[in-house]
Amino acid sequence: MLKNRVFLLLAPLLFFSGLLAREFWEKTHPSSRLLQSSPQPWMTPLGASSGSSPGICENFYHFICKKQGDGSDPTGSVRSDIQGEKIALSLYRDIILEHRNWSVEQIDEEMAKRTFNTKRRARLQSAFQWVKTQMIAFIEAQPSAVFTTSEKKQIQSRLQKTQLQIPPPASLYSDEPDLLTKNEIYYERTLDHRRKLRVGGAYVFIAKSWFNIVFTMAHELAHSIDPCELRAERLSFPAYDHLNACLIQAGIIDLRKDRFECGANDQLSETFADWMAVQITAVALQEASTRFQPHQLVDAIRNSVRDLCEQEEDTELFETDFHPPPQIRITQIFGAHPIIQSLLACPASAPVSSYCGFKTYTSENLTQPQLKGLRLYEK
Amino acid sequence: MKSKSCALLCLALTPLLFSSCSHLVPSRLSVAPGDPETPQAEPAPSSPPVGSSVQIEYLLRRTHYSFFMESNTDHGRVKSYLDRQLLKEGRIPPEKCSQFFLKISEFMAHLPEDQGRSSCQSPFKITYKKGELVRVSEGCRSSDSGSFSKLIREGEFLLYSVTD
Repeated sequence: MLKNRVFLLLAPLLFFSGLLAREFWEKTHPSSRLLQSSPQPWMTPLGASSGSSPGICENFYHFICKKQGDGSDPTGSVRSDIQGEKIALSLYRDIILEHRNWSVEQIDEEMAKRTFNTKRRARLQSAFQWVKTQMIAFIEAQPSAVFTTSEKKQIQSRLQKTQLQIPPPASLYSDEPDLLTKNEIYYERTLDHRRKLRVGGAYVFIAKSWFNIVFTMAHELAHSIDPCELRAERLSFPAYDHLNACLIQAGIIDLRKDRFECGANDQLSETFADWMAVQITAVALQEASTRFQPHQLVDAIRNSVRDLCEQEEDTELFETDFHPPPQIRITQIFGAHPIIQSLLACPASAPVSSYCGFKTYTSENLTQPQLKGLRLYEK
Repeated sequence: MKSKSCALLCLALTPLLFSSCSHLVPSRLSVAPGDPETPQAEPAPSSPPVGSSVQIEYLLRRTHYSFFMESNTDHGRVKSYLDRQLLKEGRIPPEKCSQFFLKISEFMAHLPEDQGRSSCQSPFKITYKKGELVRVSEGCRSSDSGSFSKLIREGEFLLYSVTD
């Protein structure tokens, strides 16, 4: 009887001791992970050793995110998210005030026409087509040890069938009308298994740089073949398992306590999409390097991922977080690619011919046909 | 005895193993006097609901949005934010405010119970206050057939229809 009372007295005491211990641990180890490992050589942050571009290589995140001013490359600039939405909403307001008697639907139709004019539509569509072609070629370039012929066909078919939806008509977004003034580009699969990319109206006002459009389109298109998307359709490829393990080992995917693979708080699909987008953007940057001045190329590299610097970290409100932090996305995924390192003359920490088991592009192994035709799309 | 020691140890370790109990909140919370288990859409108010407010917060991929509307005696006040930066604020006629609150109430009443929020990339949270009554609903944008997006669009239309 006495023992039972002691048990009842001790139980809450120990429980709250545990709570206090956890709080102390989380405060003193904010980035604690279940698995701590050293990054693999090709994922060493850019310029970890001394290099010929110390200002850039040694602090790549700062180089991308802390640049003041316009930072236009020869194809355009990248503005902040809020600027884009303010422009889009200002246009929306103008249309409302010009046409007081119009319905919400009529206003949206006019908004779609003015936002996605012929020139902007053509540019988005050409970027999408170029990215799709490059991604299919990247899959094709993988050795049989990565993908079998059958696996390649399945992936390429999915890419081929993914469509870009751009209004007008505004009714194309009738199930998401607020997207006409939002910044987002995103991929989604409908219940009838159709795959599509949609572009928010504000995005066309912030992303003028071709390289940002390429990275963003490539990221979203990559979601159509990401490991979680394939798993949702009961497909599984060993190469993806290897890639997942590699990204975890390198500390790029955070192994959180409440992570559920391809579910809550899992960064796998977003990390994969970044990783694939870098492969494609690197091709565009390599081609640009043959005709841009060095400072123009530096701006093009910066503009590719400049919008990744902004990321809301509101875990209190929604308790979900699928993207790795900007520092990891920019430094360890984008900045770690051999072509980016090469273009910035950063000393590679190790010779690179593979990237988590995949054959990766380098400045040396890119062939002319892959680069050919890029200029036709760019303007 | 061994089993009790084990039980004590487990109790001490429980908070260490689970990062936060707040992850386990139900998909919909309804806190109100009388506690209506299933919220009902309200009848059309005959007069503007003075002192009522609605706060809509939502994530769209990486961006956090917030839309706020509040009714006062002679007007409604509306504000919208992107990543906590003010996009626009304005005043709207009180009757427009009432109509929007009614739509919010209907939307909340018909929100499905379980929308798989834990794996939702675009979640939303609506807090509707009417006097002492506070109602909170959460959901996932991608699984509601566009009704949430349409609601936001209507709110934006009201806000941008005003001439400042």
